[in-house]
Formats: sequence, C-alpha cells, structure tokens
Amino acid sequence: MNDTHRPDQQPDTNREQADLLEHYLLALHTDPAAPPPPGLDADLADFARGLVATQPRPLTGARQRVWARTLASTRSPNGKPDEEAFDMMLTPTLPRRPQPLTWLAAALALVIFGGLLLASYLPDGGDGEPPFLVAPLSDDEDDRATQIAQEPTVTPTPLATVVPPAQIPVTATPVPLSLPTAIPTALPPGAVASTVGDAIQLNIGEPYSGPIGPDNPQATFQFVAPETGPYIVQVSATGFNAVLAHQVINADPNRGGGGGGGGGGGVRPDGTPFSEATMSLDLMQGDQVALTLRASQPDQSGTFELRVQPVFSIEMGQGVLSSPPVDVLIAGEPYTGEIGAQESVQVYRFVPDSSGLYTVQLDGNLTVQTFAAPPGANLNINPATTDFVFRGQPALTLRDSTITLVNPDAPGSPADHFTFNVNPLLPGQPTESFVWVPGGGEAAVWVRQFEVGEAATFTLSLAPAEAQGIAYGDTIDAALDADSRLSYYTFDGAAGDVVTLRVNGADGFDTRLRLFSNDGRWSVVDDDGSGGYDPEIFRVRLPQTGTYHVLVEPAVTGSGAYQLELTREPPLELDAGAQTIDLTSKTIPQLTFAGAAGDAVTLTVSLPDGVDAAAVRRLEVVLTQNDTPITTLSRDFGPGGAAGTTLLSGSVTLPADGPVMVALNGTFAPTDGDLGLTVAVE
Amino acid sequence: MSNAPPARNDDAAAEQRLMALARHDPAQFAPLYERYFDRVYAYCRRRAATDQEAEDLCSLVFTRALKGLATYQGGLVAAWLFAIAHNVVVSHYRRQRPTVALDAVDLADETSAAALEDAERDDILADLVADLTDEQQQILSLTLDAGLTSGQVGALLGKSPVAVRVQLHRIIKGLRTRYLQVTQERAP
Repeated sequence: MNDTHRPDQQPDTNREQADLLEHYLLALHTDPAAPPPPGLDADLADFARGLVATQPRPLTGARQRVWARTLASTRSPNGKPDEEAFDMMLTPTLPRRPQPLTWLAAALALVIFGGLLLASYLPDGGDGEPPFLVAPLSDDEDDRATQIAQEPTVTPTPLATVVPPAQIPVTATPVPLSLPTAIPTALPPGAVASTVGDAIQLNIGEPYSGPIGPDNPQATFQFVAPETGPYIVQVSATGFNAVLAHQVINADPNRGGGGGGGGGGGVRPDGTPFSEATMSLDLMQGDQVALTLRASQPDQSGTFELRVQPVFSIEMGQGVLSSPPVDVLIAGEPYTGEIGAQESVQVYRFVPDSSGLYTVQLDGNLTVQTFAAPPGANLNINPATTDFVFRGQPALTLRDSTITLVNPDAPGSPADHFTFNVNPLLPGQPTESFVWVPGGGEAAVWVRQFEVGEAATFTLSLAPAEAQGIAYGDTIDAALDADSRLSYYTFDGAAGDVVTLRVNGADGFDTRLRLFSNDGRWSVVDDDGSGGYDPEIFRVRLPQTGTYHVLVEPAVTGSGAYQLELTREPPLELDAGAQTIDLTSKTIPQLTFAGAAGDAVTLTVSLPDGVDAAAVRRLEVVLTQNDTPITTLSRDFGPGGAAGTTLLSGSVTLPADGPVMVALNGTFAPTDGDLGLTVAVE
Repeated sequence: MSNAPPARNDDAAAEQRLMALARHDPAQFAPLYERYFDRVYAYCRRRAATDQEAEDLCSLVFTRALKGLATYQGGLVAAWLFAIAHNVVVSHYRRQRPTVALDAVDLADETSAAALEDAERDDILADLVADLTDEQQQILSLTLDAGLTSGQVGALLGKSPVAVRVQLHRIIKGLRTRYLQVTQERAP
C-alpha cells in the first residue's frame, strides 16, 4: 500500500527491520557469536550471519606481499623505497585498549594543562575563584609532586618522512603578541604555562604570526566558534619544532566531552612536534576554544604563523572558480571551475523559472549533490560552512557528506515540507543527475571532491529535464538504462481526482514511483505497493488543480523495461440517487452531479446504518463547478464525535451550467466497525 | 569473519593519535595497517576477480593512504581509509565474477561434509553477490567487510544513512530469497 507522507518520512516495518539488521551486522563484526537483536526476523538473522561468514580472507603471506608492494610504491624523500621503514612498521601492533599507565599519565597531564590554561580566561565561577574545567592540581604540595612525577615527558620525535603540508598564505598584518617571559618553575616538564591575561583574541580566518623563544615561550589564542561546523587550525613554525595544544569548552553542557562553565573540557596536548601542520576541530556554535603554541624544546626559538578557518572555507585567488565567483546558476549555461587540493566543496544556487525536474551534468573527477527547498524558502547558503538557512534559522548542515535537515518551525522534529534530493554523481558513473525544484523555490547544487586532497577541474550545468506527458487512462512502455536513469512524466489533475499510478517492471525490474504536486508540498512515494517489487500509488486524491510530476526510477540501481499506467477513478454519480461511500480504504472518492445555472440544490451527508457516529470528528464538503469553488460546508464534532445520523446539510444556487464536483474531507477516529458516508443531492 | 572489530571510542582516540604521529613518521602507520589489512583486503576481494588482483588493489589503497596522510582531517580512520578504498575499487573495478584461487582453499577441511556444505554455500552466495549491481555490492561489502555504519557508507556513496539501511535490508532479503530458490533447485 502506498503511503502519503512527506519525502523524509517513510516509517514502516521494513525500516525497523533495516535498523535492526544493521545493528546485528555491526555486532557480528565485533562478535561472530553475537545474538540477533529482539525483533529482527529470525530467518533473516540466520542468513545474515551466514553471509558475514563468507568474508574473503587473504592468502598466506598476503599481508607481507601487499606491504612490500605498498612500500615499493611509497617512495621516501630520497626517491628510494623505504625498506628501513618496512622492517620497522610491521613490528608494532595497535593496542586494543589504551594502556592504563600511559593513559593515566596522559590524563594527569591534561588535568594539569587544562586547569592552568583555562583558569586564566573563563568566566568567574561565582565564588570568586576561576572555575576549573578539569580537576585542578592538588592543594597539597606532596600530592601535587606525586601528580607531577607521573606526568610523562614529551620527547621530540625525529622527523622521518614529513608529508609536505599545505602552504599557508599570510596576507593580514601580523598581530603583535604580548607573552609571558618565563615558564613557571612549578610546572612539570613538558607542560605548558598558562598565559594569564595574555591570551590573544583570535579572529576566524585571519593569520597571526609572532616569535617563540626563551623570552616568548608560548602563544595562546582563544576564540568562540561563530558557527557550528568543522574548523582547521593551520600552523607553520620556522626555526623550531612546535607543539600545539587545544582545549574546547562546549557551549552545550549536554554534549559529550565537555561541559559549559565548570565541567570537564577536552584537553588534548598533542605532544607531537612539527614544523607545519593542520589540525581539525569539530565545533558547535558558541564553543570556546583555546590554542597554545610552544616550542618542543625550551631552548628553541623562531617564528610561527597560525590561522583558524572553517574547513569548507573557499579561498579566493586559489583557483577554486573562475573570477568572479559564480553564485547563481543559469539554466543551460555551463560553468567551469576547479577545486583545489585544499578545498572541499563549491556551492551554487539555482532559482528555477517553474516547477519541474532539472538535470545536473558534471564532468570531472568530482561528485555533485543537490538540495531543493520549497517556495518561500529564502535559501541562504553560507559558502564558508555550506550551512543552509531557512527563515533565518539553520535548516540544513552538510558536513562530511552527512546531511541533516532541521525543521526551523519545530526544532527537534523531523524536517517539514522540504523537498530533499541528494543525487550524487560519482566518477565512473553517468554524468547526469537530477534535482526536482518546485516553482518559486530554490535549489542548491554543490560540487565536492570525490577524494580529499585531489584537485580537479569540472564543468557544471543545469537545465530543465524533458518531461513526457501522460494522461488519465494512458499506459506507457518505457525503459531505464545506464543513460536514462530516471523517467519523468507530468499530467494535469484536478482537486479531488482519485488517481492510481502503477508500474509493472519487466523481468523483476525493481522501481520506485514518486508523485509531486506542482508546489512540492504534497508528494506520494511508493516502492513495493503492489505487493511484489513493483510500486503502486493506489487511489490517492489530488489536493489541488494543476500539474503533477511523476518520477520512475530504479529502486536501487540497475536497468530494465517497465510499463507505467495512470488511471483516474470515475467520480460517483449523484444524479441517480444517494451514494454510500465505504471509507474503510481511507480514500474518499470524488462525487459529481450535473448542474445548471440557477438550480437550487441541497446536499446532505449522513451516516449509513451500522456506522458509529462517534467515529466522525470533522467533516467538510467542497462543491466546485468548472474548477471554481462554489461553497464549502463544514462541521467540527469535537473529540466526542457526531451524534445522530445526519452530519451535514446545506443548500446552494448553482452559478453556471456544468458538472458539479463534490469533494469530501473528514477526520475519523479509529474504529473496529464499518466506516462510511451517504451523500445525497436534491 | 573480520579479524579486527570496528574501532570503539577508546580505540578511535588511539587511532587518531597514531594518524597524527604517522604524518611525521610513517612508521607509526604500521599498527593501523595491521588492524585494517584484513578488512581492506576483504573489501577489495569482493570486487576483484582474483586474489592477485585483490592484493594489487589492497596495495594501491595503502599506498594512497600513506601518500595522503596529510589529507586525514580527524574522524574515524576507517571512514577515511575506506573512502580511499572505495575510490580505488571504483577506478579499478572489474566486472568479472570473483573466483577463488586454488591455493586459497584449505584442503584439509575439504574432507568433511560440513566443509563441503560450507563451500557450496559460499559458492552459491558468491554467485548471487556477483549478480548484484555495482552499488549493491558496494553497500554490502562496505558493511560486511569494512564494518562501516550506514552513515559512513552513505557518506561514501552520497546517500542518507536511512537509504543505505533500507537498501542493505533489501539486498540481504533479496539474496536470501534467491539463495533459497537456488538451493531448492539443486536439491535432489
């Protein structure tokens, strides 16, 4: 049975089974004897367990052979295979669990570092003492000495093969730093001093530089994340090996790993010296971040450059796009661009002339994804974070290819009335994808790297897809293949029409069927509604008069022939007498009677025998003649339901000649008995 | 069956630390190679025609991983590594149905009836999996072999986690149906 719902909501038992199955498969990955979760189909669980057991295993010696080939392909800086590294690298093994002593010592180091670092600039805890976000050092001098003795020293690791990092362009004026003159002697070896009162307020995107040396042992920065999303910290050090530490105080105290104003913050002194490095931070809006940079050896000195910016920030002048940057796509016009090694995504906006399906074509070793928002969405795309704003509130966040829709009208609830399409194009696949854009709405098309670190050029274009017309009673034979991965049809429907769309796939070809109203606010999606693999949208009543859009696509992938059939249920004639409607199927048919201008008609809706009146909560009747509403009769019976057998009755004088369409709407409580209405016109 | 479970939170922290170290000293990547070799191999083997080809693909994956250590920007190492593996496999995809090399068979086990049954089951399943579409095979292998979650698979394939879960469910249901059909046809 098809289901009328918004595109993002398709709850069914298959969904539950799918969730349980994934849970079980992941559990089997950890424990081959893991029991299936309650509720998972037992036969399916047995089969899944057997399937997992078929995982291919490497031949004897494959591990060493592969590694040898890998090393032969991975040249060391001198251009020769790094055989020395080969011998060394096969020796260590990854500890399955953290070594208790090591982590105990590391945790202590974090405690010491975090307490000292953050006490300097956090809001007062209320009692005059700066709040510790992590456990402070003991007040007892002996205990503190014990803690310090357990702190591991940071031993510089010689740089073996340093992968050349990205160059950091420094364009802004260096900010003079005011730094403490010495590391307090009470600190354990390797720990970082707090720069009480001297932390630099950092502006996102601006580069900072300064000296590091015996007189300026460290530089501390702090900033508040302006938006939710990933950020990178780019640092380069000249003349010394640097160590960068960071601490995040979560804005949301309920978020894991930290607490607002007094809880534990995630302190992670890296301990790894570097000359140039990029560090990633995943931040929420309002998170407070502290960064501390120092030399790995106290006697080293030099200069550093540091900048923090959103990961998806697109640097102008680095060859991302032709200049000036293109923000709005024009249908049919191709755009060429380039995504550099350090960039991740380029977002375009598209405003269609009318509702419909649009093709997106992309040439280049990249992937493209699309998103369409409804009319009035006022889509605001932030190119720095690729966050989308709807009515001034965050509506969609794209991060690491994971897309989350948020209903701004009801935060926390599923997304509402968004038409959401993510139709990726991947290298090696056809270069055409689709986005359905309602009239008056907007679409966003983003091009992103398929593999991080690979620069690529691309050509992007977007144009209306050609729709094939289909009318009531038509049967169309068609096929989908690698070149034609989606079929697009349109038909004209009237409010109240009860239609059925049915696809019959040849040779088991599994398809999915979508039906959209022209404004995109109403849609029906079906996959296996016929009972087999074929979809069927069965007896749905169209909500408005206008163009409707039909998409047929493979349920998963693949190609095959199919037959599409569109039928309209003929309206029930009221001229010959009253009609009794069975509402058990939950679809109210359309009714009609012949009319002439000046006719005075009385329409009555009543309950047939045996139907519980209490089940009827609300009823509405709309009379339409020549696509023009004549009158609406409605009655709200409240939670107690109706009383008596006559539910509605009203009279109207017809304004014109022509058939009158009677559309019934209602709200009915669940009932074990029959559900129906009797409609009569006099 | 996988020799290494998916990384748990503590392991993930240890992995991230190793990745940070490996950027400056590739020797630190060795534990990660040890951990992920079987999973990467299995993922490649599902798509490769021969063991030799699977080893080649596997080597290519780790080569690109080592050369691209700087591209790792945090997060699960598995997701990063299998993003590379996915790209390698897509680029070097071989349509041929996977076959098992003779030296891969444990001859000692072949004498038992249970082993023969298992071998026959594996053979049928291998045939059925090979008949799946490219994307279906990717979803299946990224889940079964790589141990990725639907969110991670979706990130690689540009799909929502829900879509991946539903497709995975459909794929396994379909495999089971066809498996039962085949075994009934072969039954005496």
